[in-house]
Amino acid sequence: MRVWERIIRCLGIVTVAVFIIIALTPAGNAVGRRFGVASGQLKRADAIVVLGAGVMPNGVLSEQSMRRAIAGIALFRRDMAPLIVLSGPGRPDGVNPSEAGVRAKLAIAMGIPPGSILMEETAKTTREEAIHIANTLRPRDATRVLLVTDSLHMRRALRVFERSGLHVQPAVSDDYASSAVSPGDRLWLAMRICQESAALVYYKIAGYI
Amino acid sequence: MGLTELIFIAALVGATTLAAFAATKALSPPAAAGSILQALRALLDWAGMFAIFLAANLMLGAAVILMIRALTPRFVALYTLENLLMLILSAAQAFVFQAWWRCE
Repeated sequence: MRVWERIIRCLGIVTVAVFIIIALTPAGNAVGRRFGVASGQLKRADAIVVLGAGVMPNGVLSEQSMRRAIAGIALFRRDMAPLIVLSGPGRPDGVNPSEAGVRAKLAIAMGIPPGSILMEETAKTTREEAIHIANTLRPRDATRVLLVTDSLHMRRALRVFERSGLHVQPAVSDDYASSAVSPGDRLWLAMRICQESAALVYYKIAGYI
Repeated sequence: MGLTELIFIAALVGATTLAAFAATKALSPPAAAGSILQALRALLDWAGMFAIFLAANLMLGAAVILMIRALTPRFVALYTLENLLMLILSAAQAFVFQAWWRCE
Protein backbone atom coordinates (compact mmCIF):
# COMPACT_ATOMS: atom_id res chain seq x y z
CA MET A 1 0.00 0.00 0.00
CA ARG A 2 1.46 3.34 -1.05
CA VAL A 3 1.88 6.15 1.45
CA TRP A 4 -0.81 8.38 0.01
CA GLU A 5 -3.28 5.49 -0.11
CA ARG A 6 -2.63 5.04 3.60
CA ILE A 7 -3.16 8.77 4.16
CA ILE A 8 -6.49 8.70 2.30
CA ARG A 9 -7.65 5.71 4.35
CA CYS A 10 -6.63 7.39 7.62
CA LEU A 11 -8.47 10.52 6.52
CA GLY A 12 -11.48 8.31 5.78
CA ILE A 13 -11.36 6.87 9.31
CA VAL A 14 -11.18 10.39 10.76
CA THR A 15 -14.05 11.57 8.51
CA VAL A 16 -16.31 8.69 9.54
CA ALA A 17 -15.40 9.14 13.24
CA VAL A 18 -16.05 12.89 13.13
CA PHE A 19 -19.36 12.29 11.33
CA ILE A 20 -20.50 9.81 14.00
CA ILE A 21 -19.40 12.08 16.87
CA ILE A 22 -21.10 15.14 15.38
CA ALA A 23 -24.32 13.45 14.31
CA LEU A 24 -24.92 11.07 17.19
CA THR A 25 -23.42 12.68 20.29
CA PRO A 26 -24.01 16.03 22.02
CA ALA A 27 -20.35 17.05 21.46
CA GLY A 28 -21.34 19.51 18.71
CA ASN A 29 -23.96 21.07 21.01
CA ALA A 30 -21.30 21.66 23.68
CA VAL A 31 -18.99 23.31 21.13
CA GLY A 32 -21.92 25.36 19.83
CA ARG A 33 -22.78 26.61 23.32
CA ARG A 34 -19.17 27.72 23.86
CA PHE A 35 -18.95 29.32 20.42
CA GLY A 36 -22.35 31.02 20.47
CA VAL A 37 -23.19 34.18 22.39
CA ALA A 38 -26.15 34.33 24.76
CA SER A 39 -28.30 37.35 25.58
CA GLY A 40 -27.52 38.94 28.90
CA GLN A 41 -29.87 40.99 31.07
CA LEU A 42 -31.17 43.40 28.42
CA LYS A 43 -31.43 47.10 29.25
CA ARG A 44 -33.45 49.68 27.35
CA ALA A 45 -31.49 51.02 24.36
CA ASP A 46 -31.78 53.69 21.67
CA ALA A 47 -32.52 51.25 18.87
CA ILE A 48 -33.11 47.60 18.07
CA VAL A 49 -31.04 46.41 15.10
CA VAL A 50 -32.24 43.29 13.30
CA LEU A 51 -29.61 41.85 10.94
CA GLY A 52 -30.52 40.37 7.57
CA ALA A 53 -30.60 36.65 6.81
CA GLY A 54 -32.07 36.36 3.33
CA VAL A 55 -35.32 36.44 1.43
CA MET A 56 -36.47 33.79 -1.01
CA PRO A 57 -37.14 34.54 -4.72
CA ASN A 58 -40.90 34.64 -4.07
CA GLY A 59 -40.46 37.41 -1.50
CA VAL A 60 -40.89 35.15 1.57
CA LEU A 61 -38.42 35.61 4.42
CA SER A 62 -35.99 32.77 5.10
CA GLU A 63 -36.58 30.87 8.34
CA GLN A 64 -33.66 32.62 10.05
CA SER A 65 -34.72 36.03 8.78
CA MET A 66 -38.24 35.48 10.11
CA ARG A 67 -36.92 34.31 13.50
CA ARG A 68 -34.69 37.39 13.83
CA ALA A 69 -37.49 39.74 12.71
CA ILE A 70 -39.95 38.28 15.24
CA ALA A 71 -37.33 38.54 18.02
CA GLY A 72 -36.73 42.22 17.12
CA ILE A 73 -40.44 42.99 16.94
CA ALA A 74 -40.99 41.29 20.31
CA LEU A 75 -38.27 43.49 21.85
CA PHE A 76 -39.92 46.59 20.42
CA ARG A 77 -43.29 45.50 21.79
CA ARG A 78 -41.61 45.15 25.23
CA ASP A 79 -40.66 48.84 24.85
CA MET A 80 -36.92 48.07 24.85
CA ALA A 81 -36.19 50.89 22.35
CA PRO A 82 -38.07 53.62 20.46
CA LEU A 83 -36.59 52.64 17.08
CA ILE A 84 -36.20 49.40 15.16
CA VAL A 85 -33.76 49.05 12.26
CA LEU A 86 -34.67 46.26 9.84
CA SER A 87 -31.83 45.22 7.58
CA GLY A 88 -31.74 43.09 4.44
CA PRO A 89 -31.03 43.87 0.78
CA GLY A 90 -33.20 43.05 -2.19
CA ARG A 91 -32.44 40.10 -4.44
CA PRO A 92 -30.20 40.78 -7.47
CA ASP A 93 -33.20 40.35 -9.85
CA GLY A 94 -34.83 43.30 -8.04
CA VAL A 95 -38.33 41.98 -8.81
CA ASN A 96 -39.59 41.61 -5.26
CA PRO A 97 -39.28 44.01 -2.31
CA SER A 98 -36.09 43.86 -0.27
CA GLU A 99 -35.77 41.68 2.83
CA ALA A 100 -35.97 44.88 4.92
CA GLY A 101 -39.15 45.87 3.05
CA VAL A 102 -40.80 42.50 3.71
CA ARG A 103 -39.83 42.72 7.37
CA ALA A 104 -41.16 46.28 7.64
CA LYS A 105 -44.55 45.12 6.29
CA LEU A 106 -44.57 42.34 8.88
CA ALA A 107 -43.60 44.77 11.67
CA ILE A 108 -46.39 47.19 10.70
CA ALA A 109 -48.88 44.31 10.57
CA MET A 110 -47.76 43.40 14.10
CA GLY A 111 -48.53 46.86 15.39
CA ILE A 112 -45.24 48.75 15.11
CA PRO A 113 -45.76 52.39 14.04
CA PRO A 114 -44.19 53.03 10.60
CA GLY A 115 -42.42 56.10 12.02
CA SER A 116 -40.41 53.89 14.39
CA ILE A 117 -39.05 51.71 11.57
CA LEU A 118 -35.78 52.37 9.73
CA MET A 119 -34.71 50.19 6.82
CA GLU A 120 -31.22 49.28 5.65
CA GLU A 121 -31.56 47.88 2.15
CA THR A 122 -28.10 48.22 0.63
CA ALA A 123 -25.68 46.36 2.94
CA LYS A 124 -24.72 42.92 1.66
CA THR A 125 -22.38 41.78 4.44
CA THR A 126 -22.33 42.00 8.24
CA ARG A 127 -19.55 44.58 8.03
CA GLU A 128 -21.51 46.74 5.58
CA GLU A 129 -24.55 46.46 7.84
CA ALA A 130 -22.48 47.72 10.79
CA ILE A 131 -21.06 50.68 8.84
CA HIS A 132 -24.36 51.74 7.19
CA ILE A 133 -26.47 51.31 10.33
CA ALA A 134 -23.95 53.20 12.49
CA ASN A 135 -24.03 56.04 9.92
CA THR A 136 -27.83 56.06 10.02
CA LEU A 137 -28.08 56.00 13.82
CA ARG A 138 -25.31 58.43 14.74
CA PRO A 139 -27.12 61.61 13.53
CA ARG A 140 -30.10 60.53 15.67
CA ASP A 141 -27.88 60.22 18.78
CA ALA A 142 -28.76 56.54 18.91
CA THR A 143 -25.57 54.75 19.92
CA ARG A 144 -26.85 52.12 22.36
CA VAL A 145 -28.34 49.24 20.40
CA LEU A 146 -29.87 45.85 20.99
CA LEU A 147 -28.40 43.68 18.26
CA VAL A 148 -30.63 40.86 17.05
CA THR A 149 -29.11 37.94 15.18
CA ASP A 150 -28.64 34.22 15.74
CA SER A 151 -26.37 33.03 18.53
CA LEU A 152 -23.64 31.66 16.22
CA HIS A 153 -23.47 34.81 14.08
CA MET A 154 -23.48 37.07 17.15
CA ARG A 155 -19.76 36.76 18.00
CA ARG A 156 -18.68 38.30 14.68
CA ALA A 157 -21.60 40.75 14.47
CA LEU A 158 -20.95 42.04 17.99
CA ARG A 159 -17.29 42.79 17.24
CA VAL A 160 -17.93 44.50 13.92
CA PHE A 161 -20.76 46.66 15.35
CA GLU A 162 -18.64 47.67 18.36
CA ARG A 163 -15.86 48.54 15.91
CA SER A 164 -18.27 50.88 14.13
CA GLY A 165 -18.67 52.85 17.36
CA LEU A 166 -21.97 51.54 18.71
CA HIS A 167 -22.55 50.24 22.25
CA VAL A 168 -24.02 46.82 21.66
CA GLN A 169 -26.08 44.44 23.78
CA PRO A 170 -26.53 41.00 22.20
CA ALA A 171 -30.14 39.86 21.89
CA VAL A 172 -30.01 36.45 20.26
CA SER A 173 -32.93 35.16 18.25
CA ASP A 174 -32.33 31.45 18.94
CA ASP A 175 -30.50 28.91 21.05
CA TYR A 176 -29.65 26.54 18.24
CA ALA A 177 -26.78 24.88 20.11
CA SER A 178 -29.26 23.52 22.66
CA SER A 179 -32.20 22.83 20.39
CA ALA A 180 -30.29 20.82 17.72
CA VAL A 181 -30.99 17.23 18.77
CA SER A 182 -31.56 15.29 15.54
CA PRO A 183 -28.50 14.16 13.51
CA GLY A 184 -29.46 16.47 10.64
CA ASP A 185 -29.73 19.49 12.95
CA ARG A 186 -26.43 18.63 14.62
CA LEU A 187 -24.67 18.38 11.25
CA TRP A 188 -26.13 21.76 10.28
CA LEU A 189 -24.95 23.18 13.62
CA ALA A 190 -21.41 21.86 12.98
CA MET A 191 -21.46 23.36 9.50
CA ARG A 192 -22.54 26.76 10.86
CA ILE A 193 -19.77 26.67 13.50
CA CYS A 194 -17.18 25.92 10.78
CA GLN A 195 -18.62 28.63 8.55
CA GLU A 196 -18.62 31.27 11.31
CA SER A 197 -15.11 30.26 12.44
CA ALA A 198 -13.85 30.75 8.87
CA ALA A 199 -15.69 34.10 8.64
CA LEU A 200 -14.12 35.23 11.95
CA VAL A 201 -10.65 34.36 10.63
CA TYR A 202 -11.39 36.23 7.38
CA TYR A 203 -12.66 39.32 9.25
CA LYS A 204 -9.60 39.22 11.51
CA ILE A 205 -7.16 38.95 8.57
CA ALA A 206 -8.98 41.69 6.65
CA GLY A 207 -8.78 43.94 9.74
CA TYR A 208 -12.56 44.32 10.08
CA ILE A 209 -12.55 43.25 13.73
CA MET B 1 -32.37 11.58 18.76
CA GLY B 2 -33.07 8.99 21.42
CA LEU B 3 -31.47 5.56 21.71
CA THR B 4 -34.75 3.91 20.64
CA GLU B 5 -34.82 5.88 17.37
CA LEU B 6 -31.16 5.08 16.77
CA ILE B 7 -31.75 1.34 17.31
CA PHE B 8 -34.84 1.51 15.07
CA ILE B 9 -32.91 3.12 12.18
CA ALA B 10 -29.91 0.78 12.64
CA ALA B 11 -32.32 -2.19 12.62
CA LEU B 12 -33.91 -0.96 9.37
CA VAL B 13 -30.50 -0.65 7.70
CA GLY B 14 -29.45 -4.06 9.06
CA ALA B 15 -32.66 -5.69 7.78
CA THR B 16 -32.39 -4.29 4.24
CA THR B 17 -28.67 -5.23 4.14
CA LEU B 18 -29.45 -8.84 5.10
CA ALA B 19 -32.34 -8.92 2.60
CA ALA B 20 -30.09 -7.63 -0.19
CA PHE B 21 -27.39 -10.16 0.74
CA ALA B 22 -29.87 -13.07 0.75
CA ALA B 23 -31.60 -11.96 -2.47
CA THR B 24 -28.30 -11.52 -4.31
CA LYS B 25 -27.10 -14.97 -3.22
CA ALA B 26 -30.33 -16.59 -4.32
CA LEU B 27 -31.04 -14.73 -7.55
CA SER B 28 -27.71 -13.62 -8.96
CA PRO B 29 -24.71 -14.91 -7.01
CA PRO B 30 -21.54 -12.97 -7.89
CA ALA B 31 -18.78 -14.96 -9.58
CA ALA B 32 -16.10 -13.77 -7.16
CA ALA B 33 -17.46 -11.83 -4.21
CA GLY B 34 -15.01 -9.86 -2.07
CA SER B 35 -15.01 -9.85 1.72
CA ILE B 36 -17.01 -7.46 3.90
CA LEU B 37 -13.69 -6.15 5.23
CA GLN B 38 -12.66 -5.17 1.69
CA ALA B 39 -15.97 -3.39 1.21
CA LEU B 40 -15.49 -1.49 4.49
CA ARG B 41 -11.99 -0.47 3.41
CA ALA B 42 -13.45 0.86 0.17
CA LEU B 43 -15.96 2.87 2.23
CA LEU B 44 -13.13 4.41 4.27
CA ASP B 45 -11.20 5.23 1.09
CA TRP B 46 -14.29 6.88 -0.35
CA ALA B 47 -14.81 8.88 2.87
CA GLY B 48 -11.19 10.07 2.72
CA MET B 49 -11.52 11.10 -0.92
CA PHE B 50 -14.82 12.82 -0.18
CA ALA B 51 -13.16 14.90 2.59
CA ILE B 52 -10.35 15.91 0.22
CA PHE B 53 -12.67 16.83 -2.68
CA LEU B 54 -15.07 18.73 -0.40
CA ALA B 55 -12.23 20.75 1.16
CA ALA B 56 -10.73 21.45 -2.27
CA ASN B 57 -14.09 22.53 -3.73
CA LEU B 58 -14.80 24.82 -0.76
CA MET B 59 -11.34 26.41 -0.82
CA LEU B 60 -11.42 26.95 -4.59
CA GLY B 61 -14.96 28.32 -4.35
CA ALA B 62 -14.01 30.78 -1.60
CA ALA B 63 -10.94 31.93 -3.55
CA VAL B 64 -12.96 32.47 -6.75
CA ILE B 65 -15.68 34.40 -4.89
CA LEU B 66 -13.14 36.64 -3.12
CA MET B 67 -11.43 37.27 -6.47
CA ILE B 68 -14.74 38.22 -8.13
CA ARG B 69 -15.44 40.59 -5.24
CA ALA B 70 -11.97 42.13 -5.48
CA LEU B 71 -11.71 42.44 -9.26
CA THR B 72 -15.28 43.22 -10.33
CA PRO B 73 -18.10 45.39 -8.97
CA ARG B 74 -20.23 42.25 -8.67
CA PHE B 75 -21.04 40.92 -5.19
CA VAL B 76 -21.19 37.17 -4.68
CA ALA B 77 -22.04 35.92 -1.18
CA LEU B 78 -19.76 33.33 0.40
CA TYR B 79 -23.00 31.67 1.51
CA THR B 80 -23.28 30.47 -2.11
CA LEU B 81 -20.96 27.67 -1.02
CA GLU B 82 -23.48 26.58 1.64
CA ASN B 83 -25.26 24.32 -0.78
CA LEU B 84 -26.38 20.71 -0.48
CA LEU B 85 -25.37 20.21 -4.11
CA MET B 86 -21.75 20.83 -3.10
CA LEU B 87 -21.89 17.85 -0.70
CA ILE B 88 -23.64 15.58 -3.21
CA LEU B 89 -21.30 16.45 -6.10
CA SER B 90 -18.20 16.08 -3.90
CA ALA B 91 -19.46 12.64 -2.83
CA ALA B 92 -20.09 11.65 -6.47
CA GLN B 93 -16.71 13.07 -7.50
CA ALA B 94 -14.99 10.94 -4.81
CA PHE B 95 -16.93 7.82 -5.86
CA VAL B 96 -16.10 8.17 -9.57
CA PHE B 97 -12.46 9.06 -8.87
CA GLN B 98 -12.07 6.09 -6.54
CA ALA B 99 -13.66 3.69 -9.06
CA TRP B 100 -11.35 4.99 -11.82
CA TRP B 101 -8.31 4.81 -9.57
CA ARG B 102 -9.10 1.21 -8.50
CA CYS B 103 -9.61 0.11 -12.12
CA GLU B 104 -6.27 1.52 -13.18
